[in-house]
Amino acid sequence: MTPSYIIPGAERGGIFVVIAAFNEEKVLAETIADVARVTRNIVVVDDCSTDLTSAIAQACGAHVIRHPINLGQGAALQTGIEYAALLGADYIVTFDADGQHCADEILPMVEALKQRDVDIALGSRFLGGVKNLPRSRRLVLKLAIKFTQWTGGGRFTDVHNGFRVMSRRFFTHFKFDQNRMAHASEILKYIAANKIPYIEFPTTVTYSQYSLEKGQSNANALRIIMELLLKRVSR
Amino acid sequence: MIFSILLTVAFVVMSLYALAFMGGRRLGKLLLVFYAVAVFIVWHPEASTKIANFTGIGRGVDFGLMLVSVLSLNLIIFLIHHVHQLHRQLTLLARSIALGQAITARSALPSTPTAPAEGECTDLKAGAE
Repeated sequence: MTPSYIIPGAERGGIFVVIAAFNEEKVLAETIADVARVTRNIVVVDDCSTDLTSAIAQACGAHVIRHPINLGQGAALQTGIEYAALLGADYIVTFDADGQHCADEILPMVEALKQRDVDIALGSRFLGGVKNLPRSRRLVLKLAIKFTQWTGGGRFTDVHNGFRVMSRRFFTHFKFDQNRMAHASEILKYIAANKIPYIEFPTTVTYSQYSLEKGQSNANALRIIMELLLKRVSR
Repeated sequence: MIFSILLTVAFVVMSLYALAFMGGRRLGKLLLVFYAVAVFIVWHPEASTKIANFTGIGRGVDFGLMLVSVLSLNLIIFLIHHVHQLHRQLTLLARSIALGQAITARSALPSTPTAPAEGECTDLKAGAE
């Protein structure tokens, strides 16, 4: 994916944070305000929400893109990445809308990526910290790590962590093809298969009542496996 | 005879479909072989009984039923493939519309939107709650 042109008048370069949001009116303003302390280049992709998500993101000064139909988090991230690329981003950070990530970790993560001269930095809650993680969710995540390893997705300390930093080199070549939650496995598989230089960076994930209710349920693990299998069949 | 012709037509149509949509892929080639064998069995039913006996199934009819099961599975795979392709096209279309609208809206702005200082979006946030 190479942008064919740069949007006129866009501020070139810098760090862009892409947030995929679906019905996140309760927490989005807080998340944007948190990220805005680090960078003003915030791209919110509203995945056809039925609430005030778009309006709130707009009022908070973010670049807002709204999908005409609900496509899923993977598709929303890809849309945001393409938009940020058009704005001439040097580094793209993917960040969850539900406030479970810590914006203070964005700059250290970008610095680590630059210093190690790798193409992508992956947030890892198991290298960093995790607060209020239910035992059942921890078990599912650990199983997901093993599943990723067994299915050729590489050895990672965390999977399905939405906090990542991508270099321009990475996001001009990689494209999320999995529209929904399986995108998180897809990117790891791409990294492993193409031997992309990466680092895992310790990050903090704080689960709140909201993020636990809004985020993935444990049953979604089966759905992700099905999505990955279906993609293989339909290839 | 009529049934044989109908079955042959059905298999030929499905072969053409496989050739058009999955021709270059391994699965597509496998399906073509499968359909060729199926057409052969339609016109030489005694061969199916021989194969059935050889494989220990017993009767050619049973063998045929098993073939139909495999055929149904193939159809499902076709459908999954087709739905996936449609979904991919729909994604690209929706993304193109969303990006187009965002770029148009942005071009109309007098200045670059910037994120506000802390607390600036409190009003809307309070409204949402």
